[in-house]
Amino acid sequence: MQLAAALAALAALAATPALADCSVGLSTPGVLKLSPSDSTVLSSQAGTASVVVVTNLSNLLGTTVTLSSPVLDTWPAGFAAGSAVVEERYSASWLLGSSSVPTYASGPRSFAVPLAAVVTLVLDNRVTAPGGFRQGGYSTKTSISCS
Amino acid sequence: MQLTPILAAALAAALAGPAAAQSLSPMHAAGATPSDVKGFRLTIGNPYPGPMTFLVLPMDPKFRVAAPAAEVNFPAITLAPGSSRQVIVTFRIEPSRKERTIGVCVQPRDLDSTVLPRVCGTYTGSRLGAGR
Repeated sequence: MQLAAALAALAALAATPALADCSVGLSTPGVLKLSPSDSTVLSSQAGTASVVVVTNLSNLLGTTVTLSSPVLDTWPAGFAAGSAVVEERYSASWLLGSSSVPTYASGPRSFAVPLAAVVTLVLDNRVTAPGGFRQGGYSTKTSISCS
Repeated sequence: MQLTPILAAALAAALAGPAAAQSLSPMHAAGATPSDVKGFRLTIGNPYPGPMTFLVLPMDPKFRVAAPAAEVNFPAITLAPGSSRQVIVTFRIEPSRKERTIGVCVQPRDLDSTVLPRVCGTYTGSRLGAGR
């Protein structure tokens, strides 16, 4: 009887749409600043990182959070965007768990998140341009997917 | 000792109240179809303060490129704070295939930010009577 009740509860849980859910929310947009020591580097590491909150209620096996390769999204006219290198690093934490890659890299990353986790993801971006930066606005873009 | 900062981080995250977010439910589903078209009803939600417009995009199963021969009845939807709405995603399964899996991603339409938050799911349709 207990097993039957447990299976019924599990079936109901699996069938409840409200529990099959994952959300990705941007809490704090990041800001890129010119490094005070290196005029060829823009970064958000000086306390201006993007903060993303991922809430996972997706399934009993958890879900996967994927960070895409960052790209340069906007730049001023005349800037050689093709020569710029865009990299990112992240630090994620949730109750009784964490994941982080402290070194900057250009490629996509992913990590697994357990069920019923509220994940705080801090994302730093860095843009390096050997020829320096022209005056103007620069921004990067990273897609963060919960799947 | 390590639990305190983690709890603090989780609490801060919960209290932070994301300015932009979306939810998708279910994130995985499978079903059969007697025809060459399969549809799934998905619920898109906006659980946070502020109205938002979301794009609902049929993608490949790896969420990299748009999926061909796939449609959404409301490819762009505006949701009030805390509300949700159902959309129907349909895609064609070629006669030569017994099943097809597509991805669907939901993302904000107009979000000027360094981060593009997406929620993605995968959906598999199989043709009834197709031999294995």
